[in-house]
Amino acid sequence: MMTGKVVVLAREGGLDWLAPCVEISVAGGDRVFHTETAVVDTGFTGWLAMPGETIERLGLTPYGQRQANQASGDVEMFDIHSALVLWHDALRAVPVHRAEGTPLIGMSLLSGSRLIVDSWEGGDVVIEEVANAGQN
Amino acid sequence: MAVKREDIATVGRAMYAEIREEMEANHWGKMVIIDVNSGDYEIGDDDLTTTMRLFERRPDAMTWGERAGYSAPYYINNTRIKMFKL
Repeated sequence: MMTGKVVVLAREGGLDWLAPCVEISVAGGDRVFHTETAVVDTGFTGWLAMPGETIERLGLTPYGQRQANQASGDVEMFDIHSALVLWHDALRAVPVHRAEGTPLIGMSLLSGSRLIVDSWEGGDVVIEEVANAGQN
Repeated sequence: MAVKREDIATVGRAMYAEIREEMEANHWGKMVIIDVNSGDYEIGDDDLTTTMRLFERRPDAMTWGERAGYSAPYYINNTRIKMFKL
């Protein structure tokens, strides 16, 4: 089980922009793990997204490019890198989209997990591995 | 010769254009991962496992990915904001 908190990413016009965040352990080819804070984003269909400065710092290896639809309707192109992430106590090699902004955890990484979000500032975030996920 | 980063999309799109008709006819919705250096490609259900299979044959692959029949293989709406209070 992994846990995190709902934080206020920004306050705009009196509106709090809440985001469920968890800390994850990520490494590049040198297998030196760093703790990164990422927003759980169920609208992102990939595994992880990270800004260029984080990708450079972790030394993630690029292996190509992928396109992605944006909410605006535009299709944008992203460099894709490989990373190791500690997920439910297991090491997984996953693709990382190079996308500016806060690091994101997407639905492909969440696949097979239960996500619980108490949607208020300071609320709990829980990501649980579910045995026999999708079979009930 | 290795394809430069700025040419990956151009080469990848051109290679996919050659096989698009067959992919959309027989592999609708599947991921197609192309090594832009060799033109070799793999078809599968998701980017990760399909790319891994291609890497087994082409360890130095520089890849372009398409989802057959779709405008792009992913959805993303990154915020582009960096502020954090934890």
